[in-house]
Amino acid sequence: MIKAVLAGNPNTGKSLLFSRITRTGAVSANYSGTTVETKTGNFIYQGTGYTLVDGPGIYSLEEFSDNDRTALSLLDESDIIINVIDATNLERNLNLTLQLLEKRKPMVVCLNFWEETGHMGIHIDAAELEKLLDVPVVPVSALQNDGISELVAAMSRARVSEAVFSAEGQWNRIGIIVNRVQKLSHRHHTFLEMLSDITLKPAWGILTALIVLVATLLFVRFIGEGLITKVFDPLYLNYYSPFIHNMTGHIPYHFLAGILTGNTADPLQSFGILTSGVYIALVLVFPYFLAFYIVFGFLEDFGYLPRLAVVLDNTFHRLGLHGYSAIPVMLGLGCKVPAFLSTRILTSRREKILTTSLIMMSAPCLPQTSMIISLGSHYGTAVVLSIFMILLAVAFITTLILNRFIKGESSDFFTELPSYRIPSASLMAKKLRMRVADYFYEVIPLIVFGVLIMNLLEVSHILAFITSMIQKPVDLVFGLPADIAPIMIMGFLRKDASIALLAPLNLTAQQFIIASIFLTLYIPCIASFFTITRESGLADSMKIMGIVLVTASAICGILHLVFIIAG
Amino acid sequence: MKFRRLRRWGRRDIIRDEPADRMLPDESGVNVTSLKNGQSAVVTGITGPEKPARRLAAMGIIPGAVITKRSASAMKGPVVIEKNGKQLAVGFHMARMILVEQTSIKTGRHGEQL
Repeated sequence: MIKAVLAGNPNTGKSLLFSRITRTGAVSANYSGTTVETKTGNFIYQGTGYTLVDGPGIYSLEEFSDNDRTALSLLDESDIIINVIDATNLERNLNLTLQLLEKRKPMVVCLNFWEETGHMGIHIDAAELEKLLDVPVVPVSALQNDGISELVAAMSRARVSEAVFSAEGQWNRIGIIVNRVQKLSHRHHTFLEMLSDITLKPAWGILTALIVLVATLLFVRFIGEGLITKVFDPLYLNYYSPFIHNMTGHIPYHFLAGILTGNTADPLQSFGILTSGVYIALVLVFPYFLAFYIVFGFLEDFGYLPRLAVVLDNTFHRLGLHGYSAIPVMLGLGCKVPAFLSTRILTSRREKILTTSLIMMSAPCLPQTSMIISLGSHYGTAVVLSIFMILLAVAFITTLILNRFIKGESSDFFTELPSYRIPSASLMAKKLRMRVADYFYEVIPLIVFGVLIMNLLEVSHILAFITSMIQKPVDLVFGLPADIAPIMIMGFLRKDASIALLAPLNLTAQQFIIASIFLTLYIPCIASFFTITRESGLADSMKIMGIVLVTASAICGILHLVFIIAG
Repeated sequence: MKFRRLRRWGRRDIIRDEPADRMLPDESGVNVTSLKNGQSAVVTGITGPEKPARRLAAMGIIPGAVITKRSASAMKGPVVIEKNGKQLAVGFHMARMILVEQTSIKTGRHGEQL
């Protein structure tokens, strides 16, 4: 097995190239730092087995963040380096290329985005570049799936460069190479470039950000709700539910039937694996999940996220962070797990901790959000809005306080702004499919498992016991009914569904606000917990959990008091 | 995470952790933040702490490079600079580290002289 690593600047299309070569899936998007985890895939070419490794992008062989460390160690472990270059930005990319040549490892250079050079007025003499660098150079378009087989074929010709550069200084050498191989012709601004300029102007930037945000919310709500009321709910009620009840009706054991379908017909109250479990995961959460990732996938691939980060930089500076933290926080609106992973693009531990706290507190994850909206709409829009406003305020205040106490320097905003690109529909569909598959593999088993445990606890009367134990404190501090106690305990396993389980409790609007906020904040779900532990270590993760639990209890206690005083 | 001791208990060695470049006085001549939008300039030097300077260098922001300021955000937000047609958003304090000399060289979308 020959180990080949894809190395190159961020956002040069390494992950897409990886997907194309190994024919597997790797999430790609149009911003620096999409890839934070290492992916490996195997393939055989002309009898030789290769292991291809995809890792984070780097600008130089220096180490600025955890991401860089990962990338550098991948380089050291590899047999062959495939240096991926953005052909539309030869000069800057060659800086890394020349540094890589000095590693004295067999190398191939891949000129990606070849299809864009033509209409950008850039002409590169690949053969001349190959001569100068003394390693194979292959033009490729990962986006259009062009030149991939040539690249794979060139891997067998990978060689240690013997090139000698006479000029002093790295950038002088690069200048000489660029002058030899690249010719530019003038051309006019494209529509996308003008759009890019507009979205960066201060006033327009904020306006665009608002428009994008509102449009996203409207779209997710429209599509999500439409799918629920027009498709999934009728399907469930008219076909699935009668079918399941018919099937389980023949089970002679009352206990087993109870576990499978619960004891009432209402799918939100029955706690049956095949009824509540399926209904929450598929009918209530999945439509919102789908709608959110359609919009988010588009924004990612279009290249808008880094520009939004520029606009948000001011706000984040107040929190001791800079705008790039906005990207993990936005990812967290979907699911917290990829959000925590993406904090690796941040350069200091302090920023990571602050961003982690923001991700955890600023908004619930998508399954919870959709449940808060679904259940909360019975109480009116004001109730739903106030839940999100309070969460946002709590997140800001907590991060502000943490910012004053955590040591370490905060670094400055620094990112490349990718050109806007019209997303490819097939790539967006592929990414959506991967995210949906993840949802089904990871989230649904947890929901079903949670419903099962809940059901078992109820049948075995443990539920009643726990309930009686914490009945008093819960009522006294939060003003919530005792039945919420088991939901709190089980929330760790299936946080996604915990809000849904509030449905049978017939809470008042005020109780619903307090309960939603508590269930959103008090503890991360089990998947997030493992991710934070892996990213920050057990000690930090326990501290974060402690802080979050105390904050959640304090906030909900205060809210309860406020509601009492307000009458 | 390690909490810093509260300042009233703490000794003087616990200073608020402002990065050095944030305290950098704007004295060394013209820097990127004083350019107008759309104006081009030649980089004459990078001042300030080493780490951010090396990050800039890795992106080709080095003495002699021709850059164009594309936009700036309100209230000391990031500055967008363009080099060879590629845009880079740089925090205000980091942008102040980039010393420049105005130039009449007009550059096109990928840095070619017009």
